[in-house]
Amino acid sequence: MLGQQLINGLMLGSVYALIGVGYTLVFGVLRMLNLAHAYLFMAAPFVAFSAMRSGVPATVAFATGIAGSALLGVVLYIVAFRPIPRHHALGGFVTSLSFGVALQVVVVNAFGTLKIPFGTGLSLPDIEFGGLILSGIQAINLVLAATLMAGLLVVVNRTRLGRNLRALAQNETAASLLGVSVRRHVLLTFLVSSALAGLAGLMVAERFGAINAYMGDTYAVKALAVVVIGGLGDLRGAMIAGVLLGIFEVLFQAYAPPGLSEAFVWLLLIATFLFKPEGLFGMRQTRREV
Amino acid sequence: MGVLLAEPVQALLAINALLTLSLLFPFLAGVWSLGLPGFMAVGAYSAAYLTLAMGVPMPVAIVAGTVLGSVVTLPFGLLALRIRGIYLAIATLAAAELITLFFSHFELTGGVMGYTGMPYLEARWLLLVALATLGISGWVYHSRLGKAMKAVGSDPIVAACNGINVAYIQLISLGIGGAFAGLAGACFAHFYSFIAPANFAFHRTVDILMFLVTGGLTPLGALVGSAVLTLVPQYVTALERWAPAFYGVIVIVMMAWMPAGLLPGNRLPRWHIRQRTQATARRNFARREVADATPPVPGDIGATRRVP
Repeated sequence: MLGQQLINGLMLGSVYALIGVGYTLVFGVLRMLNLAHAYLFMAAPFVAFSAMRSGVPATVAFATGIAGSALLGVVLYIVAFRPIPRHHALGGFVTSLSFGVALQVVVVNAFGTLKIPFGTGLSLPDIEFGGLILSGIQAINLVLAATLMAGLLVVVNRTRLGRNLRALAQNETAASLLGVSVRRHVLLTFLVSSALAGLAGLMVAERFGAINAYMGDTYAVKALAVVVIGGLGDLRGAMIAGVLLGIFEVLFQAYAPPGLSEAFVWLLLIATFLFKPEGLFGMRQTRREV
Repeated sequence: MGVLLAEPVQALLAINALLTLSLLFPFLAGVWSLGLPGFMAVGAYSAAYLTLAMGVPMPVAIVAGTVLGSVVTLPFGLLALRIRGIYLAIATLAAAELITLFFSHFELTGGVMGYTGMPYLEARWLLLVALATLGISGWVYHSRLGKAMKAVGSDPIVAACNGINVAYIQLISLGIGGAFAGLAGACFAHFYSFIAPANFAFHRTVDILMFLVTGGLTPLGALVGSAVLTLVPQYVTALERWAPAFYGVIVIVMMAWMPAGLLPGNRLPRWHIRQRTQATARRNFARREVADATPPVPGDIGATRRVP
């Protein structure tokens, strides 16, 4: 029983981690919070659903969904971040939220507010070991999420591209003086983070077998907490905090009084602010204006 | 004009104006509070409980809701002393989520099913309350306190150097915001006679944030922003389904071309400089232009820039 709960927690945690990584990537490069992230998470399953309804096989539809959310991410940057003055206090915060809400309204008007069944039609054998059951799709999702996140860490920490991104995150002016194309790297960041959000959305849609225009809301807000607990701008922190939070949440749901599993995230967040405001792995740093 | 006479529209206008004003002061002082629906819920539930279960007269209950809405910001305001900016926004978001979670599981006020049966408050009283709050807001905005808030909001370090107690001002601004939100909540509860935790979800912050950004960070701006954006979907019925998307487009366009909003407040109103002679004013203006024309000294980094 506990093992099964741990697997469920791992699934939920990998969703949080995927969303959190997207938040943190964009924050690292732009120093702005992209609040439309959650809505991109919600958009991907709807794109996949439309593709499947028009008769495309499930795998292609999934790829379309991820591509769709990646494309929306690029549009988001062009519409809601590029034209905004960079040092406006509320800048990207408000515009990205507006973009997301507009996207949600489009989805609501096109598909309604009710739950829509979301089936893949794929049948994969379940994996069973030691009394634990892991459905085939779950296994694929877990492996996919783990590889993607590991790959992201390698790219960011080991390659030239990653070095450019880190330089950009540290000091944009200096990086651009040294020949890093700011626009191209920011666009790429949006592309990758939105694709990850799309994947997370598809994982959730597949897990619950239903999609809804409001499915992103709770995950988004919780992933925000995850990012802060892991340390804003810290990739590894977001991943680990996400997975841990997912596991704890499922365990609390199973064994603690109702309400506590939801409150837990927020209490942990406040505790983080009080005792370790720089995040799980953050170094003590001098105050930084964000 | 017929729309304006309908009670639900009047109530919506009043409540939205109250909520936008409640967001104004924290934002003015640089406290990006997203806790508004939580504080509103506290006001709504406490006022409703007082009138329903304790039999307290409605005006007293509404005042109590206002005070409690303000008091509940205190612990989260104390958090504000440690953190700032985006972190603070997320912390207040946590506050709102915790408060609505609390009311979802609090059986005395109906839990998730909602709480109903409050005595009815007519919409014209709501309008009156909103107008009074607007007056108070204007007064606070132009007082020393309001100026201190603006100073803290535009640059906390410079404000502190000029002898302003930054933490205290931020705490006060959050308290005023909480009071207005509590008042809005209490009015909301007594106009609709039904409240549920779902009324106080994140989407409410989103709408109000858009009103404030469109209007600009002044009391009049808050009023105009909320009134215009509330009324347009009422007049253009085809827009109703698309209202939030419409707000979103407006906000993005505003941010790109008029980042300070419709009625920006970053310069002193005319009557503040009236006592100066015209000549002094002109001389000062000329001096400022000279100062603007001189190139900045290299290495002279303003305190608002971020430290890499």
